[in-house]
This record gives sequence, structure tokens and C-alpha cells, in this order.
Amino acid sequence: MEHVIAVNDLKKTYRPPHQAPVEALRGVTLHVEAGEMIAITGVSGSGKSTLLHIIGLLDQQTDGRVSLLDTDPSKLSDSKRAKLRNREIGFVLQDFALIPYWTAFRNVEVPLIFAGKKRKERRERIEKLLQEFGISELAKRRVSQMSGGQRQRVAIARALANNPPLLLADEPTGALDSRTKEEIMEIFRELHGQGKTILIVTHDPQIAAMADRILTIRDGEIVDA
Amino acid sequence: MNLFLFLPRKASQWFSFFISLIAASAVTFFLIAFICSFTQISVMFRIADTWDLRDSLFYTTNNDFSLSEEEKLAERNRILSTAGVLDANNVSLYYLTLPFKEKSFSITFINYSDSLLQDIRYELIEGSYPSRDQKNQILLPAYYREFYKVGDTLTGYDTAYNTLENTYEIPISVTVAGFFKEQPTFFPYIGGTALPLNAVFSRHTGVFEDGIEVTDGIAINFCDESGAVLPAKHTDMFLIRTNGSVPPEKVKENLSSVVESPCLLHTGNDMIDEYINASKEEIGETISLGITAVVLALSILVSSTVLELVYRKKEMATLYLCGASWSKCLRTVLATYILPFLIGFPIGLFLFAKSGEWYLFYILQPQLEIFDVLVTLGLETFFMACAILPFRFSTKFKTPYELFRKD
Repeated sequence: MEHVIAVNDLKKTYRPPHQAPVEALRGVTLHVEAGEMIAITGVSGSGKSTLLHIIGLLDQQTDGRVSLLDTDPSKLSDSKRAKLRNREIGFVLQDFALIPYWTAFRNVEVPLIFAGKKRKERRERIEKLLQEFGISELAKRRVSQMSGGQRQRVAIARALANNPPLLLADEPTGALDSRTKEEIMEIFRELHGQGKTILIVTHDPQIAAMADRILTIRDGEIVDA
Repeated sequence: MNLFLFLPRKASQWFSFFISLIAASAVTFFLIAFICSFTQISVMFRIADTWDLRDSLFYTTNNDFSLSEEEKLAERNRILSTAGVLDANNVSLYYLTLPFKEKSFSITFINYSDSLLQDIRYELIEGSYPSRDQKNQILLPAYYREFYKVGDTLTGYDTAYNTLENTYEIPISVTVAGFFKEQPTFFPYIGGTALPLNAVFSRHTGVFEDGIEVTDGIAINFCDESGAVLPAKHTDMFLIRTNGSVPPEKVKENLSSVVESPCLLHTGNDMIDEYINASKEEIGETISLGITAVVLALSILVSSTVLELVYRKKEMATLYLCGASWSKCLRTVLATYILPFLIGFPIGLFLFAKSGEWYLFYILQPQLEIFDVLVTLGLETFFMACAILPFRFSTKFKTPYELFRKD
């Protein structure tokens, strides 16, 4: 199987002003195959979110190599990295990262707008996604007027707007009650079943148990794979 | 790409939009007023530099002494033979009556000496300066374009005096050679012991005929019907230019001993100082407008742009997450923000153009010049860039997501 993600000896050091440098990642090596679901666990500050951000092209490594779908993102310009992020990666975050005063429809539309999709094409895709996640009736409702579960469904719909092969989730159920968590877990199971490659950063053993592999990060290193 | 993702949708956002629109109009209004005021107050300095007036001297032959023509000629010869003097120029005048809108009107034409005409060149907006071998050519102020065109021949008469009371008319036909842009016209007529530089230039006469301000035209090589040079009336002032071999102050000292009225002798620098003294109110108004404009521009353009970007940082992080480059995030957020400024800019210009009718300014004559508009636009862009560029380049040190992430 081909590697969707290949991370070799990845290092990331933060240099906060007037403070000692912080080594968030110290030589992480990771290979993810297409269709795999991987859970990344670890205590707070262990470096798991940093790893996710670098893989998701939101951040850049200090040292080491990352290959994403056979592309070396460090050699790309900001706009090309943005295009890669737009087409190939979907993000689901704990705080949803939605624009609260926009409707669900508008939030899901954003990645499609950046992908240059036509209005009609956008509308059809959004309607399909909202229907798939059972929130069609919420299309015109502002996100700020929705429950946590509804917001996370909108966030997942947005992550899938351009049908990316890779989904990155950072504590996707962290802000949800147990019933809603079950529903979101079910969605991830279905997506995994559809062949999406999924990386989930989580503290939750129940979520981690769904994964094909569990990686544990401690002090910026993978200690258990 | 949909640039206007953040168009106002709620009542509060529309309210904010209209406040921004008013603020943008106010910034433009005060900036253009300041630029216009600065342009008007500084025009004398620019003219002084362009025509080397700082190195020249002005002298008025005092009529009160009742000098005879021979004595005046002798005085002029003494001036010319003084060390450091290049030439002593006098401006002559013609008072022509020409056909105008099925009536006739009187216009004063300034006739510069040949040597002076080589240096004094006003900016023409149409036509060209005629050569000296062309007879009876005139250059007219710009607003006469509405009534005449280049090449028109106007037949009228020059008014001459037999005695102080008796006048006679000399028929003359003149041809319009061009139109010059509205600008101060060198017209050294009024002398005095304290002579500000602007006193030897005329711009607005304050005399109106049929709704048109009557200002001076320029006469070139006027002759009567027989081809003889038309006699002119000479002003009392001489523009004495130096040849550079002696400093102007020293030339003044030398001239003081040869002219009849040394107290009516001024260097260009004296007249600039006098202009500054006489223009304290204008300068004060320009400074007030400048301070208001800069304070408004800083507080509205810079601070509100920074606040907008800080306020929108989560939206920008979200757009970044969804696949926008950092530049696109900034563009998307700023496109809507800049909209009231784009609309407010022409509104501010319009209000400024109309302010002349409302007598909003004490001294400033509101006029929209393309150069002033461009400078105003440039300044507004500069103030906004001051706020935007640090955000744009901050990503050299931190990624956008790092800048805007929650923890």
C-alpha cells in the first residue's frame, strides 16, 4: 500500500520570546497508509497537536521531512500549500473552528469557494453533505444557534466539502456529551469504512479503540506504536 | 473567488459599515483639504525656486517723486550697470475690449519683455506659446475655453489715453494661441516698503463679469493695424535679475546707493520672509487641517484596520484552515472592510469640492486637482498599509495558525 503520509525524524522547536526554547517534537517518524485510521494519544503538551498541525500544513517543522501524498510541502509556496490543504485535507477540531454568525450552509461553502467551484456545484454539494449528516433543516440556521453535536456535524461536512482523502481530527469529541460523542464516532467509523485516511488526536480511549493503530506520544517522541 | 464573504448581514454590521463610511468620508475630506491647502500655501515657494526669484530683486520706481521719463531711464541705466545685475525687466500692460457672448468685455493683457518671456512659461492646457515673429497672439486663462477656441481671431480695440481724462481707441485683431492652467500670474504692479512675494502675483481678481472671474491674459507682440508696435502702459516695478557673480544681498547693498528709493528695493528672500509673515493665518489653517487629517487618518485608518484584523483573527484562522493562503485570508477579510473606504473616498472628495459653496474654510479655496486627489489616495493607502503590512509579514516568524490559535 502507498503511504499517504510519511514523516521522518520530524522535529519542532518553539522559541518563545524571553523564554527557553521548547522542543515540541523530537524526531518523530510515522508512516500512514491510505485508508488507515490512526489515533494519536498522549498527555497535554506532549506534542500530538503540533504533529497534526505540521501534517495538516498549518505549521512547519524545524527539522526532518514530511511527505504528503508524495509531495514535499516544505518546497511549496504558501499558496500551493493552501491549495493542497484545500483539496486533500479536511480538519475537524474540538472547538469546531466555524464562523458562528454564518449559517451552516455558508460555513460548508468556504472550502468550495476557495476550490473555485461554481455556485450551482457548490449548492448541490452542500445540500448532499448536509443531508448525509442529517442537518439539512439547519442549512439556513446560524452556527451560534446550534448545539455542540450539530456544530460538529457542520464542521465534519465542511471538512468533507472537497472530498479530501485525508481527515485530521483534533479531539473531535472533546466538547460533546456522551450521546453526541457516540454519534460523531459513528460518523468517523463510516468515513473510515468509505476509505478515508483518518488521524485522530484524542485523550479518549473509546475513540482510540476505533483506530487501526494507536500511537502514544510523550515529550515529543512516539513511545508506543 | 468570492472576495466579499464578510459583507454585512446583521443590523449591527450594517451600522458599523455606515459608521465606517462616514469616517472614511471625513478622513478623505480633511486629507484633501490639507493637501489642497498645502499646495496653495506652498505655491509661492515653488514659483520662487522655479524662477530663481530668491536670487532676484524687486524695485518700484516711486511715482510720488514725480521723476521725469529721462530720470527714470537714467535710474534704470544705473541699475543695469551695477555689479552683479543681469537685467532689469518691467512688465507692460494692454487694456483690450473684446467681443464676448454677443457683448464685449475688457481684459488686461500682461506683456513680458523678451528676456523675461524666455523664463516665465506658464503651464498650458491647450495650444502653444507663439514665436516672437507671430503678431498679436494671446494666451487666455483656462476658463475662457468655454467661449473661445485656439485659432479664433477676435477683433476689438485697445484703450489709450491722450490725457488723464481723454481716451481713444486703437483697433486690433488678436488670435488665441492657447489657454494656460489656473495658476498665479506674475504681475508686478504694486510696490511698497513691505512687499510679500504673493503681492507680485495675481490669481483671483475678485472681479466678475457674466459669472466669469476676469483675470489677466498674456499678450505677445502686439501691433496696430499698420504693423507698428502698440504702445503699452508700463508698471512701476522692476524685476532685477542677478548674474550670480555677486550675492543678492550684496547686489541690494550696491543698488541702494544708485536707486531713488532704496526702501522700495527688496530681495526675493526678503519677500519670501514677508510672505510667511503675511500668511500666518493661511499657514495656521494648513497646520490645523494637517493635524486634524493626520490624527483622523491614524485613528481611523490605522487603528481601525488593526482592530479589524485583530477582531477577525479567528475568521482568518478558519479561512486558513479551509485552504486559503495567508494573503488570501487578508484579502478576503479586508475586501469588505475596505468597501466603505472605497465608497467614502469619492464622497469625501465631493464634499470638499462643494465646501467652497458652503464657506466651510476661512481662507482655503477648495479646488480638486488630480495631483492632490492622487496624493490623498496615496496617503490613505499608506496609512492602511502601515496597519496591514505587519500582519502580512508576521507570518515570516509565526505561522498564521500559530498566531491565531486559542492557547
